[in-house]
Amino acid sequence: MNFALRFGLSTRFQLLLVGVVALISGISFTGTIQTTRAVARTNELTATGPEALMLCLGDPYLLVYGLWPIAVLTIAKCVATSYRTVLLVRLGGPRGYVASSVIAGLVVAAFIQLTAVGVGLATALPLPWRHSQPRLGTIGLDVLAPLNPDSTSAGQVLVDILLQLAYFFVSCVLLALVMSFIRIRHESGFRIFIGLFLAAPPILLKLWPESLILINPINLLISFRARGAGIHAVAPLVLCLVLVLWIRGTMSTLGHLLLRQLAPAWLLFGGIVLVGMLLVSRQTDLGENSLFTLFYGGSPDSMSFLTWSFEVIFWQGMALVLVLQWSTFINERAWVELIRYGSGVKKLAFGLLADLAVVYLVTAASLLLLWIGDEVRSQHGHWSSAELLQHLVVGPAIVMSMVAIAVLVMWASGRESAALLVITAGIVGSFPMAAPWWPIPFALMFQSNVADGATSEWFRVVTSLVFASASVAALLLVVSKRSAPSQ
Amino acid sequence: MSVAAYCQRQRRQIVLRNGTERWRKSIYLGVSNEEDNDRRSLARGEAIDLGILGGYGRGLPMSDTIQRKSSVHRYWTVPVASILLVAIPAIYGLVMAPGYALADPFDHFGLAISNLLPLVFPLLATGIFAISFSEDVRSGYCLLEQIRIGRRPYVLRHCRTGAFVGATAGFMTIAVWWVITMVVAPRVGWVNYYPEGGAPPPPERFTWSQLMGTSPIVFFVAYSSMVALHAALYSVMGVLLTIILSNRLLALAAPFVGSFVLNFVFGSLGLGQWGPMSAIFTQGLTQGSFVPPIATTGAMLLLVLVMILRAMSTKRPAVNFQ
Repeated sequence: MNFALRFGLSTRFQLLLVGVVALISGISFTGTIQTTRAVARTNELTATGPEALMLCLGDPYLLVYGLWPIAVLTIAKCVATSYRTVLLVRLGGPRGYVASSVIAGLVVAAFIQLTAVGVGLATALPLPWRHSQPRLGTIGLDVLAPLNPDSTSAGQVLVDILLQLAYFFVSCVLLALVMSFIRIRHESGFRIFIGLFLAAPPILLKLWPESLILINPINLLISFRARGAGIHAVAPLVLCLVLVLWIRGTMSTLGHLLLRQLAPAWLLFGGIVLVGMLLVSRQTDLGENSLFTLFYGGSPDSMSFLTWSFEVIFWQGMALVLVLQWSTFINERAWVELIRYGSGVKKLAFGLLADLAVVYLVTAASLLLLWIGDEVRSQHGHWSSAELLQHLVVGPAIVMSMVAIAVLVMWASGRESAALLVITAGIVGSFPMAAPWWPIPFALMFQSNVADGATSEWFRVVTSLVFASASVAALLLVVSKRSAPSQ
Repeated sequence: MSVAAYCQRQRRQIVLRNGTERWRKSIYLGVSNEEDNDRRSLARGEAIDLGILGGYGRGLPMSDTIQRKSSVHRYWTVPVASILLVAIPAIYGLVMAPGYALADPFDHFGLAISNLLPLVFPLLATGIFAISFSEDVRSGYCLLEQIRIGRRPYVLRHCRTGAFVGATAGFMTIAVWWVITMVVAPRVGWVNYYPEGGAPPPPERFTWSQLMGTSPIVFFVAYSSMVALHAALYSVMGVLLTIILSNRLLALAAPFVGSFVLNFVFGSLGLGQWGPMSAIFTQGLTQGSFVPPIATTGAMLLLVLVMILRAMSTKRPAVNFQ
């Protein structure tokens, strides 16, 4: 289906532009005020880059009075304009309409967050990126300071930022779902509900009784506030998921979507990973740090076939499943879809974005499973920021680079065997005994790298991101030169 | 290739598929000669118009076309994968030897066929013939051949070829390295043994090494035959899965992935000796009886037989044309 038709981007794009201008102005203004206050208080610029980034993304006032209203208005506009007979026919009925609203919510959230991250980075880049003592309390960020007093590590700050991004995404999806259902069932009251969604967060932030902070709905939007109230970071995300499933009709809609999207290969992959997690946890004592133990991988000094195999099955297996889907596309559907998209680059770019979303979904699911496992074992897991960075940033980046390289060789040579060789090279390269330049990029995501100390966490993050970007750029470059796959 | 040329090619392949399917049905359904000829002419005409049948459509006999299509240069994977199979243990063994205190030449032999070779063996053994065969499937040539000789001989012929090529490469992998470690290296002095001069090989090192107690030749024959058999099985699996599955990448990856996952699962359960790779590469495990490797090999043979029957079944399409 035509992308513009599905999301109605022509109208929304104008709205988003207005929103972005307002957003940039607001954030710049806020940033300036905060920095001025910091300088005034401490007489020196003590904020670091990650803290400034967190300031742009996690400031409750900016979220409640700036980003959230933009999201509400844009999503409401998308939901309202999509509910037309012509579009309903194209979307296949109300179920397709709800699904498209959810996707629109994701697009809007991504756009807003990307802009905020961009502005945040622009503010943060001139500042130093390392610090040795807690500084959040010294830059005048009064709301954040008491909630996150142990943020001595830049990695921890980055994890906090990623968590806040996840909160915002989930909130936008929930908002889009609720709005689409209201639009279907209570057309007349739709505008009243928009007003409610706009007015409620400030009231909840300011007037909600302090004694009932645990059940304040604003916790679903602001991760720092939720954690300050003593709630586990993952709990609001789970609650959001429960709410999404609880909404009438969503179960069948999501089930329909999942069944359509989930290939048997993913089900098989999920089953193998689940069994693998159970088997490895049976064989080894996971202890308090299940994330580190389970995803240890291997190193030249300490190698275990079980943990190395599990790591390979999880990361390289994920890449293999994605490449399998790409091979089906290149062999069977490319010639039809290329006509429809009109450009290989466009199709590839959208496809890789979808792959990235799937990779993050699987990675997040694995963390959720680990957390549940820890709770079942009555162990309160202590995952360090370096380990979370390995799992949330380095791993997905390496998977995406493997997928990009495999698709590139498949596109250029027209042979699936070439893609298989790439995956095999990745597996063999991650074998410590076979890699003289340990850790090579294909083994960067091993948690053993955290323990080794041979490379810093930032080196691994930057290397993996550069590797992934270069792979994707090379793929898009080749596709732009060779508009159809070789035969 | 431009989008337009690419689409034209896809259209030609679809016409070829439709035409040959009609042609095949006319053969299997036993229609009258006139109808049969009509259908053949129709299919052939469409194919000739699009230049698919090449020389055959221009007056050359079909055998010439097949002969030309099956020329040797398409089977480049056979020498490449064979060389890799032989070279990997040789290079790994020679590079890693200085880092280990090797007791004797047999210890050196065991070192080289551990670690890296078990990892890549399923992939190389599968791809040795199946990659070239998958090119036949992709080009549509397999359909022409199948129409010519029939389903059953077609499947069996390629299984035979795959088994022969795989077995030869598997045997050579062990044979070459055996000669290097047991004959050449001690005489040339490439490796220092501790104790100097070489101790009598202890027969309890890994499963299959107990045959060294009988005679090194017995061990060599039994072990190399076992490796050759497994290489043949993986090679045949690659061919059969290429026929059975519609996704060629999945067909080529499935034996490798299956073997890896089963090894992981059996290893996690503490039953490492029952893994498919542990049937031949048992260096990391305590020596055991011959029952697990023989039972695993039997299970793999059974699986291959089931796959052969499945591939020969006339209820399914001639081949998953892509």
